[in-house]
Amino acid sequence: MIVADAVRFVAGNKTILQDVGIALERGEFVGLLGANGAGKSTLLKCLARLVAASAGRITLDGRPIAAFGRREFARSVAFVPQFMPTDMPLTVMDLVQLGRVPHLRGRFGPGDRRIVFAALEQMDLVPDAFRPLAELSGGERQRVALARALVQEPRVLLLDEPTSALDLRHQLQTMRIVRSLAADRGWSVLAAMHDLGLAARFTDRVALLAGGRLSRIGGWDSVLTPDAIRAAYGVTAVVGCVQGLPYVLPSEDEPAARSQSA
Amino acid sequence: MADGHAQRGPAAALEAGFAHRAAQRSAWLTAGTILLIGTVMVAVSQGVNDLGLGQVAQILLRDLVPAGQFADVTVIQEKIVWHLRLPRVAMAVVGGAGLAVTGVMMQAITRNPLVSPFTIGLSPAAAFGASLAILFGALEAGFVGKYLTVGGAFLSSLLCAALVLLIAGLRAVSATTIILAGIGLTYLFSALTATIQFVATEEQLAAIVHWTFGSVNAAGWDEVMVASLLLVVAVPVFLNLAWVMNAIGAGDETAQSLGYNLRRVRLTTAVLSVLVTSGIIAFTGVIGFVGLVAPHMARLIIGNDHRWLIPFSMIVGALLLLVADTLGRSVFAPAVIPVGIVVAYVGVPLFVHLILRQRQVAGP
Repeated sequence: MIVADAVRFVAGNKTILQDVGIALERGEFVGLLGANGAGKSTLLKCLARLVAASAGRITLDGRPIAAFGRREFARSVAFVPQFMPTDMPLTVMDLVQLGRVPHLRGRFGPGDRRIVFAALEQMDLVPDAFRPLAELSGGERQRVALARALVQEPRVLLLDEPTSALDLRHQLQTMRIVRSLAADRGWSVLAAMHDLGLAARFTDRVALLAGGRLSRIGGWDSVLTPDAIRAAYGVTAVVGCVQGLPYVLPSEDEPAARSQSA
Repeated sequence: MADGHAQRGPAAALEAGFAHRAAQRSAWLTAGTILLIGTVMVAVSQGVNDLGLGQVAQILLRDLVPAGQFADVTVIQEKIVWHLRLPRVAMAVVGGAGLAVTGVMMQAITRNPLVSPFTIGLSPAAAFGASLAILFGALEAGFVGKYLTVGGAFLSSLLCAALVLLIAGLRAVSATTIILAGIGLTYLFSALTATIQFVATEEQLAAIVHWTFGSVNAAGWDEVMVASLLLVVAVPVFLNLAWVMNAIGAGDETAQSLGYNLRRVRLTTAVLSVLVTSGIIAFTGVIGFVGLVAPHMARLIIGNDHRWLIPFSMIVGALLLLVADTLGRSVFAPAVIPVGIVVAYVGVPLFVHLILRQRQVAGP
């Protein structure tokens, strides 16, 4: 279980995160919500140890994350950025193999290969396995990045907008896979997301960031109230549930609310 | 997921594809090696005193096969091959391989396909060092003078690299800072060289200009040994970094989250690349283009997986420089055109072709 306590992150003279506390249980899938610039990516990067928090404490199973060795940490926590550069494009196969790196002792063996093949199958990437990344669409690349994280077999999976470029079918598929990783393998998953309906439907809890602070965390029906959405995003929203499927429909932009949250 | 019932199918297809790719890449490596050996034989046979390939084989394998196994050779022919042609051929092979592999490594750590050790100003810096040595009497110093020029070029390019890394190190060691610092220093060292040319005597000026052409004319076994030694140290390290280079291609965040210390990896790679490159161009003069073109050709053929790209780029670089040098000394024989010039004539059309082709692949 990964726990952030009173995390603060300052870049230059701008405070990006302030007093953020969040705990992810084993096997829990949490959606990280909030407007652009609310600090979602920064929080993920702090948890992934890509940047060091300016203050506060982050622990993984009770140990400060800074105490982990690099490879050991990479075997425990996987991070999927929103974009992958394609200036030096590897093939899908070569890229997904990289996920095994923290586990490799010497050669890339048949066992590693099986794990890679299974992830490619799971992410619908078998037909594209030997294509260079540059030829793939944004959505396909996102699935490649997730496949790479799957073969990393971490305990904590941190995803930065994993469905932002996916079509409807692959959005559902990806969310279903991520949820099953949490439920069946016991991974803790934190995913920054913009699709509130999708987050409400698939995650166990949602956390709402506004202005660098974690304003609410809990079940979607308690967090995603019209008031909270107005405060965080500056829009009025209709929130509801049809046939068990939650939805959030934004309507008018409210200038007054926006300046309030800024 | 939908075809879960046919799980054997996709896995078997992937396994077959995986094996096929590995076989394909091995085949390219093998073919490249054979081609390189063949080209070495042809290169050695070419010259004022033309030899047959049988004679070349006889001379090269003289300790392994009985006399007259492939062909009859004279003592003079043996001496020509061992003391004149082979060192220069070896220098072309070592130089080409070294410049190509450092090009691959520098491109990988900066994630920029247009970078080579020369982008960071090494060649103008080496030219400055050589010019300075020539200005201070390297021409008159005979045997010592030769090493004065080499040493000047080597130290000066190391100085340039140290400056680049220092500037880049003050901020994050990123592609942009390395390239920008390199561009700045390129202009600085070019200006310094021009200043020296301005005050140099006519004889010195000729020597400076000749040095900047880049050639393997003067290569002897000593030079080959020094340059090879650098490669022997650097290449195993580079091969060991192949996975990291792949990871950096997937982005710094991904590479870092896979457990790599990118700062250390970049520094190691840059320092070794600079040493190898400086060690080669100190002996050969400016032969920059190989470091840019050979990696690209290798990429197009074998792909961007550095486990294969690193060795294959060395073969391509060696071939390119060897072919250019052999053309340079046989097409207008007995005149010898410096390889630094020929390699641009051979390389530029290839390079343009690659750029055009790359646009097509990348698409709109």
